[in-house]
Amino acid sequence: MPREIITVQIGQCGNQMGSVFWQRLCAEHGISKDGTLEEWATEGGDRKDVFFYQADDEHYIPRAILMDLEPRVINNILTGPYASLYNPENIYTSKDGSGAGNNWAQGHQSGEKIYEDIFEMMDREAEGSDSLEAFMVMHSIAGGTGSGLGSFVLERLNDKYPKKLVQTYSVFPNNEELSDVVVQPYNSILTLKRLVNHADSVVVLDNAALTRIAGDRLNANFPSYDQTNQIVSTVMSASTTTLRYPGYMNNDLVGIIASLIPTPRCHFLMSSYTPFTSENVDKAKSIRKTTVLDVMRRLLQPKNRLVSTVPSKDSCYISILNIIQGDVDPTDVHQSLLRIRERQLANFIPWGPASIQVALAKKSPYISSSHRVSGLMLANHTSIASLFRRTLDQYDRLRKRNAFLEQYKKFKTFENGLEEFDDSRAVVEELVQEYKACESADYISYVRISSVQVGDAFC
Amino acid sequence: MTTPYTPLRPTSRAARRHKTLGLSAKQLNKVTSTLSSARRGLREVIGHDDDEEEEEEEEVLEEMRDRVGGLGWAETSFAAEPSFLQAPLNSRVPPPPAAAFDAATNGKGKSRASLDGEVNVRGISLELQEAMVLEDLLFVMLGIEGSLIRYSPDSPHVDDPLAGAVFVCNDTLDPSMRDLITRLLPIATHYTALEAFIAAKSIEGCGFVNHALCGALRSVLQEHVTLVTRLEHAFLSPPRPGEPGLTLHALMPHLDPSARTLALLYTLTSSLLLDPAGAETSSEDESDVDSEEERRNAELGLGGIGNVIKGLGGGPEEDGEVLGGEVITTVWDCMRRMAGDPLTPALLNPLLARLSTPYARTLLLWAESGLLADPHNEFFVRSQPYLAPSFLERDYTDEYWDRRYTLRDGTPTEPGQKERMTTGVPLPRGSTGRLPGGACVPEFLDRWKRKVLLAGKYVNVIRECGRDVGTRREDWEGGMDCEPFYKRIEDAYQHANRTLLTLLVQDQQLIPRLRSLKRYFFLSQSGFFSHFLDLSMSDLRKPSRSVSLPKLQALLEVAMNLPDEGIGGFREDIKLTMAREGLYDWLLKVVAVSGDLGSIGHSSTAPSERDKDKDKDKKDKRDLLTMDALTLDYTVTFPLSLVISRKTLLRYQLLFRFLLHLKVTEHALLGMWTDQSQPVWPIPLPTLEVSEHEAWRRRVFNLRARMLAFVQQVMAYATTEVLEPNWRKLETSLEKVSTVDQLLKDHVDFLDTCLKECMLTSSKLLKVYSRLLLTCSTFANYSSNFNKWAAKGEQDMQKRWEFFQKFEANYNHSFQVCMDCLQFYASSENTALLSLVVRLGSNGART
Repeated sequence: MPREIITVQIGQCGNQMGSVFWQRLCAEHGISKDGTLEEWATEGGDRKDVFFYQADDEHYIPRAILMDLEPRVINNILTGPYASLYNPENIYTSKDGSGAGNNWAQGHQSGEKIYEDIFEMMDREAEGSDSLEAFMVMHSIAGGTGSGLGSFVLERLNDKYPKKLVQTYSVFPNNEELSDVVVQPYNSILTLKRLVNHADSVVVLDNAALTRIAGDRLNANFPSYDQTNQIVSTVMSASTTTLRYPGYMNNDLVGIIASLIPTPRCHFLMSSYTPFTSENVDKAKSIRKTTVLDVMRRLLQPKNRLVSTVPSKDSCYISILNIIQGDVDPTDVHQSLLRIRERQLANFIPWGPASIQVALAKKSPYISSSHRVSGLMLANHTSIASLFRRTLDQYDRLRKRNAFLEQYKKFKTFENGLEEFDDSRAVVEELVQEYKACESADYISYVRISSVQVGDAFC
Repeated sequence: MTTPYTPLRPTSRAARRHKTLGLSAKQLNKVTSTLSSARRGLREVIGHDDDEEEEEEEEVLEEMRDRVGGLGWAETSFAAEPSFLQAPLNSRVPPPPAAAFDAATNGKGKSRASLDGEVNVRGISLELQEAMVLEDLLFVMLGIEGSLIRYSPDSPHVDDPLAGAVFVCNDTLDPSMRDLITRLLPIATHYTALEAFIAAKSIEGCGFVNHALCGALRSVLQEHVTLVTRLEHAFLSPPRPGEPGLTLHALMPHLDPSARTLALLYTLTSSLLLDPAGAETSSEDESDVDSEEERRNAELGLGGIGNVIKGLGGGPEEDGEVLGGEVITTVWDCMRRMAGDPLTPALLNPLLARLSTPYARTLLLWAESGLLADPHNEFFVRSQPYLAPSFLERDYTDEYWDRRYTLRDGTPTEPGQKERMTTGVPLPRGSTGRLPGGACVPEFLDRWKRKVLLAGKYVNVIRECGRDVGTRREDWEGGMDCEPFYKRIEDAYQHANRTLLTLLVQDQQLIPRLRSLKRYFFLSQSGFFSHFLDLSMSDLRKPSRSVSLPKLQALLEVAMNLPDEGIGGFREDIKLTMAREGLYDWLLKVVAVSGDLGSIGHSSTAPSERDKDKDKDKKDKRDLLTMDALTLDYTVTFPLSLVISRKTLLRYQLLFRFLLHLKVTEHALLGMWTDQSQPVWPIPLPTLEVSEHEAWRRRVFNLRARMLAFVQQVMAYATTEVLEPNWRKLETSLEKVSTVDQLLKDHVDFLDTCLKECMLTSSKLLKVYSRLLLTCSTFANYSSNFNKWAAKGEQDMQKRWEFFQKFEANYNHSFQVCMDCLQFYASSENTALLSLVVRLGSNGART
């Protein structure tokens, strides 16, 4: 059916996110655990075929591809309540079940080996849709499978489906704390290069921020994976509401992404969501009052972002899209925008279209909520570069000592040297520079000296 | 009536005549045979046998004989009596003695004049004089000429019987008596005038109200006749002992009330008569076909210049009879003007009640059953039978609703509407300032007329839908200016309104229909439309002529029938069509011609304009792209087409095309974005220095982003801040709407507000906005050129800068103009644009 999106969940983290995400989608569309439509789900007005298709027996089947190099997480899914939801042909687990050992190179190389298997699934799904719009990849960039195999999938997707959008929900490691995976800066850098070059849009989810939000909002000092995954799935489902509940506008992914990403390379988006309540996340605090202005203001607060960045004084928004769900009076939106502009709550780049776009979306009729309005912000903010900068720093520290490089050299990519590391580092460095450049008014004001006259017309 | 006793009286009468006059047998035969027909008119003339008048009697008889013989009445006695044919009842009352007088002046005028001179009562005793003149007077009171009281030589009734006969008193009569008599003579004049009025107005074609008036007048006259008869009786019977018998002075108080009544009625009837000049021009028969044709044209609004000229010379209905509403109005006015006289209400109230009865029945029949039984154009509602309901489906204006039934006085149907309808509306009469005939609405009904019209209209619509409109209620009797009557109108109105509203809203599913219009024309769930655009984009870029409409229709149906689109929604009524002109050109033309969009429907069909621009249109059409010409159409059936008329549908189409443009442009810019995220564009650069190529890329990206932001912001504004809130308002108002007209008004208001807030009603805004959008879509169309250049790296920098900067300069300029314009309108007449200004505020070119 039109404008379909195929989700690809890779690795432990990706599959965990995915499984919660599908639970949520099923709940929003009134689809039961085994894929049949609930009897009460008759209100319609939703487009299920963006993410589901119907089997011959009317069962709804997610357009999801699950892959992992170790069977543990997927086995959990397959023994869980939603086991019969997925198409078993779309699940790949490595036969040896050894995993990628937190090694990007190993994950990447296994990809080569299982290429036939996984792209058979991709092709079948792509051919089964009328006008495929995008692939949505869920993974983390720190481990082995999500980063290595994920990178491989990104490269090949871009080769095979150059015109299709590739959007990723990428979980960045918590680099404020020591991690049990010492090589995660290496993995991150290598994956970041692929995200820069082969993805059209990357929604950055930062484990540090997720933990913080879980702590703040949910009163949980040590949030469970389930809780953080619920946060993530809430954001993912909110960012696709306009696709699933079509309104006047923003009915396709490209429309949403294109307005957020004016310059192709700067496609790393941060997100905020408010309010998190017990309806989407277990044990959330209750929120007293939600008005459009409240929601929009909260969305702009750094503490609600799902990414921890360190903004500099020049940091600014390249673009903002607010998806407001619920029963909203459009004049409230207008007032809120005015208020936000008056108080200069959001600084924009000095050279481009600089306004907050607001998409109004319906709420699922099947999920009751105690608050009137909820909102998601997808934003392109230059301070995201600080996250990359931090990754670069950590990478540089490791690299200077040449630590842990041996395990990478075992694999084909690094057999003949470590140029791939340097290359990846350069790409990420460039990205950081480009974000930096965006903050300057000179970003586009380069005018060819020989054409001063035309330049005048511009000024 | 008179026939049964015909054989009896001539004999006795003739015998008497024979004895007194000594006519020859031959003469007698002739007289008896002709008298049978002329008897009625002559009875009184020859009815008294005073010696003095013998000669005169003979004279008259001779005249009669001549006339009668000449006209050949002997054979065709009854058939030829015109008054009998026209008004049978007239044969009972004496006709205006014009005939006799006529003959006298024509043939034997001289002899009569000499006769006049001969009647001389000078020297006769006063008692005798009084007796003579009393007898005369009793005849004269019934309009019959006496011997001492005769027609005035310059009495107007010869030429104009309606003016009544004027009598003069013999000069030789005693002056004191003459004075008294002169005071009584107007009664005779009024009586004859009223008789003539009744005769003239009781013929066919004068309408029910006039007939009722005649009936009422006749009964008043009957009272007068009875009075005179009683007086005559008193005069002829011997006085009781000790009493003086009937004297002239005794007569006066008896006749006084009658005098006042007749005078009042005379004033009334003469105000109901037209100027003789106006009344006589009845040229309508001659130009019957022409005027019919003209009327039809006028009713269809095609009158144009012809009608204007005609209007100057007098409309087709200007010199019509005084009938229907105008009669009632006149009587009503008369009553109010003379309200100080206690006699007036006493006399006129019952009169008004009688002549209101047929009018009230017509009115109630119309208001309660929707039937218009008005053969004489007496009623203030007019019907155009040329407009059948099927007319609606092809015509652009709400012909059926607006013009099928109208008020004759041209009052617009909607209270807010300022312009009066002028076609087919008669001019007011010069003398009274009233509209003629049925166009004149009685004053006390003026505030009800709209309700009456609407009630009938509603019932009619219900009837046209094949619904039972209920049984007729009992007829109305009496006057209209009373609460029970108003209550019946109000009840009829409420009932009709409720029924039609129920019909529309419940049986015809109006609200779901409107929702489906919103869904498909406003793209409120535009998932299907994105898909349609995907499918048809290549066709949309082609010229409209080379694209197959059925193919597009099929694609649209595919898109609409996706399983997730659900079922229902009346999508089978959605059709694709091609407009003849681009949206903005056309709107500009319309706005330029009429100044506002209210007359869209009319100007689109104005033939002259079409002809003028035909050549240009042809050229335009050749260049017109499918995406500019494409529009949706919606099949609506009666009676829903009352609400979703062509006029409103046109507004829906305008809004749809406005959104379509935005969608198509957005789609193209998004395509450009996809192109520009291909590997040729974001080449990883070896250095971080800003090369010329890099700078060019950034500028291209930025311009595209600004255009996209512009298009998306306009679309977001139009949908979330204009269409959706206004739609919600409409839905809430439709929930509590109680009248159909309110519903129609709300609906049109909703559309007009949307059009206005979408910038479609101001030519200045339209111009700048369309230019800006054109720049965007042109830029997007050159996407592939930019792709090629991007692939070339550093080559051809000069050329591509020039190429790009044309677009950039153009966009910057247009955008600035558009913003200025928006700001101006936002601060003046269209405050809704304020939020668009805010939305676009930061999109501007940086200085």
